[in-house]
Amino acid sequence: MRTETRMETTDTVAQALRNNLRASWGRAYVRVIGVNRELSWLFLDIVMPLFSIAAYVLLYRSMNAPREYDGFVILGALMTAYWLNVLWAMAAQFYWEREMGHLELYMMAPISPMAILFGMSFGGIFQTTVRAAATVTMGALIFGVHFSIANPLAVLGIFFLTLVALYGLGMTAASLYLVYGRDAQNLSNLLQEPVFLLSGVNFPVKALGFWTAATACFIPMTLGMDALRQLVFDDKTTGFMPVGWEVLGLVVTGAVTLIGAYKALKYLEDLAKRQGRLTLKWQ
Amino acid sequence: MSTTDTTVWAIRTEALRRTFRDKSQVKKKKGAKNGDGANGANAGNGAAEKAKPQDFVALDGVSLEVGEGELFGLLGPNGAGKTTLIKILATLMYPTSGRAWVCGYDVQERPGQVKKLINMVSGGEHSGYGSLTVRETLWMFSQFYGLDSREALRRIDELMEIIGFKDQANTKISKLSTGMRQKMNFIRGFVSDPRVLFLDEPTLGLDVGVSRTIRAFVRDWVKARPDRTVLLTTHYMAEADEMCDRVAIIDSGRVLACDSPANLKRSLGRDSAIELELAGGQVSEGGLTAIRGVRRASVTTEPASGKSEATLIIEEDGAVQPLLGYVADCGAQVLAFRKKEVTLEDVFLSIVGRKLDENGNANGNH
Amino acid sequence: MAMSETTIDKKKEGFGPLAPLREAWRSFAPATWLGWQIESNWTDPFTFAVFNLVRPLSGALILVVMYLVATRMNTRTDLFAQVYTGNAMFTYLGGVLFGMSWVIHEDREHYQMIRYVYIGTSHLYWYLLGRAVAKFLVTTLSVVVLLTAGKLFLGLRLYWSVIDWPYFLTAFSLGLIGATGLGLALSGWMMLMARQAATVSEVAAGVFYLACGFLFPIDVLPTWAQAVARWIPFTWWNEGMRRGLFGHGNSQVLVSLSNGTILNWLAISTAVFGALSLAAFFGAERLAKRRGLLDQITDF
Ligand SMILES: Nc1ncnc2c1ncn2[C@@H]1O[C@H](COP(=O)(O)OP(=O)(O)OP(=O)(O)O)[C@@H](O)[C@H]1O
Ligand SMILES: [Mg+2]
Repeated sequence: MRTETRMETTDTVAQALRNNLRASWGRAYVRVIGVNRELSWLFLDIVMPLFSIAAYVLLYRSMNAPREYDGFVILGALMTAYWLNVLWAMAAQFYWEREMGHLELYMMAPISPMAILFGMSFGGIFQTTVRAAATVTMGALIFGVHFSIANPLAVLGIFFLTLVALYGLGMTAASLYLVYGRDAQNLSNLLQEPVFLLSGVNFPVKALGFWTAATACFIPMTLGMDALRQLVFDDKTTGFMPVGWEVLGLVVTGAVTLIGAYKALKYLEDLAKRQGRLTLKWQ
Repeated sequence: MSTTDTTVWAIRTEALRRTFRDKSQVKKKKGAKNGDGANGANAGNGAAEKAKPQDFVALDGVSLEVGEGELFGLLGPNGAGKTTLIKILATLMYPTSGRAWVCGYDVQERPGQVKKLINMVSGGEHSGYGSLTVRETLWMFSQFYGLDSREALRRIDELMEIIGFKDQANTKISKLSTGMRQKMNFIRGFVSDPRVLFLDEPTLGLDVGVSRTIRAFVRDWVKARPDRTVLLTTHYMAEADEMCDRVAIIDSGRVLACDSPANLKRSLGRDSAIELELAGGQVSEGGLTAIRGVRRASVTTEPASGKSEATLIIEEDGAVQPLLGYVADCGAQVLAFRKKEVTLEDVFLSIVGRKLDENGNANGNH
Repeated sequence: MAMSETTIDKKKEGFGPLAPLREAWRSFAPATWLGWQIESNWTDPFTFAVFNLVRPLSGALILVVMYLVATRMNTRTDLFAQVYTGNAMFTYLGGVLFGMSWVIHEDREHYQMIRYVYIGTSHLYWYLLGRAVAKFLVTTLSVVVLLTAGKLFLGLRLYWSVIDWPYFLTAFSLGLIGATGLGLALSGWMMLMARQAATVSEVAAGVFYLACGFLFPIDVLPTWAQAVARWIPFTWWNEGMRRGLFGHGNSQVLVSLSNGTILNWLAISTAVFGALSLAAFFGAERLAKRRGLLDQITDF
């Protein structure tokens, strides 16, 4: 063996950023390219939500609801797609990554685990957007939904903010699921219908009454959808809060969840190292 | 680490200790989680064990020094603590007490620095996303190490060529057999060209041919790069003997011996190893070791044929006569008697007192 | 698990005319018991509540709010009762379809029990039927909770005295037979596919949810879809159950048909559907055996 001075390798901020972005892209690649190879999945992912759109739209029609409500259903289906992606491909995914032994590989690599979560988010958003765009377009065409968008930039901006807050929440949940340690599947299952109900996926959230709706604002989807309903459809009476307040709410939620994700990840990492729980497999 | 120490070991540990919460409690909790009614049977004895909440010691004061350029082996039975040691070194687990350094960096205080220098491959690992190809998967993992894509793909192609995996480059992961997956995994560890590589039973589940390729590759890799270090765990004695510059024999979290395979074998001194094939009779380990001059004994019996095999370490040739006498007294028939060259296996038996079988189970009494 | 220990016992197997039945019972009974254990998740109240209470109740509440905002009426109307009950009854169809096809996936991949069912006693479909019965029992629990909650909190217009029990129960059981048949067919399909266990049955359930008048009368469907709906037993199932429960259905296009005609159509379509399903199941099973797909495992 030889004697050698320690080589100190301190990355510059730019280097560190580049390395982490590389890692994010590596992880996102699976969702941007890989997952889309399964054409039958793609088909099902587009068609399944169309069923629920059809069911809810036809139900509204059978009850002679105003025509904007068809549009609410479509908007709801769009957000539902992202929510399901957050639940299963973000929150529960980390749990499965551990079972596959990936989590260990991520924690061992010279990058921030946040980079992996960012990659998963970016990939998930891409993956879902492709599918949801197809679903929404088809749904809107089939049921002749009319959108009246006066300010497309505001709509896009709010949509983007909603996604940031949603995936921030997904990133936080990914770590919390692991800390909680229960079967991820149960949790994600629990957070489906109740959240659709509370966030007002098919109807103006106002209908739930003030206090319930206010509580539901903790789910980023609620604020995003309420704001979009006000901006995308003619009926101006449906809003729960002025759009400006909702934008502020989304910004705050986005910031809180991103910081929360960072903290939760740190906590998880520390806990895992203390308890030796990064893998479930016995080796 | 003292500042006067100018030698930077590739790996150094100092009185490393790691405990886990009492295993029976951990297990019990798990059972309750999966619970579909079938686990109720364990509930009875759980209460008794709960009464003494004791920490389970996985590593018990491990101090090791591995030099740069070494291919170092950790040899021990299941549960010896090999993986635990590697996890600590790979910054995936904190030690309960003691310290560890990789290339001079404390794994607990400077994990960021350590991570840049290491990689790890574990046998039986199931990494990779089913919809990606082998080449893409390897590329993906390389991106976690800040590698330029082109350089990464060049290395990947090169490694796949050497390992003989080129034909599978564009196969989807979901279509790979277990062995193929393991090959891919193995390559993953080398793509980042780590300074210190941890191989935790890298040939687990691989056939003889592939294992041989992999062993040869690891040896050549270390030899060609004097500043690279490999820490390998295994319970294949031959693997350790054939590959490693030095071997640490570890059992129940303690390092029992640490030296080159040649020196370890020499340490048996005048001791020699004897193998007996027997038919019938009731030869016991206790009975054998009671004979003067027999230091260690291990007997495995094949229940189907009634044949058994005994491996003994004897101190002097004078023990052979009484030994054969004892066997005859037991009513066993000697089918074969071999005095053989001492192997690591015998060293293990001599030091640990038990024999290590193919699956890593240390057998004492059956 | 229990099943793995069941091996063919030559002495017990016997001959006689009842032997096949006895053998069937030996698959059916443990499967029902096992299914009950798994489906009900009794040992895990959290899981039990999620699947059997929280999700169905929230799903129903979404419909309640939709009804309230769309009609601006209260829930003490016939229209509401029809929507609410239809949704509750759909739980049976969804549950049985999902439950039975999931068995294949779950057993094959998690418990790896399918092969023991094969090595062990009689035919796989007795085993599946057992699981379907278990699913039915668990679903009944959620349906009762749904209806009770509707009655207590929403003034659901469902009255004990109005219900024509014999008629309702006849229609109800015929529909269940159809659902089970379809479940078998889906299980057969499942054996041939590696993934998407859940999705296939969800798609199937989705189609019937839309087409068969669970939520809204088939009147709102385009005419071609109405024509298709008349070939599916669940359309008649719905109409039959509604007439049994409320004394009348909710569809204008079916209103001219007598109660007897509805039952007849239900019986005929169930028979046709059942036969097709069984054929599909056996065909798929034979194919799966030939291709060696029975104990395939997907990893994610
Ligand atoms: N996270 C954990 N929680 C509780 N006990 C653990 C944990 N990880 C390891 N152990 C226990 O610590 C002991 C050492 O385990 P370790 O995995 O290091 O053994 P090993 O030498 O790698 O064995 P093998 O040859 O089977 O891989 C074992 O008894 C194991 O059960
Ligand atoms: Mg190990």
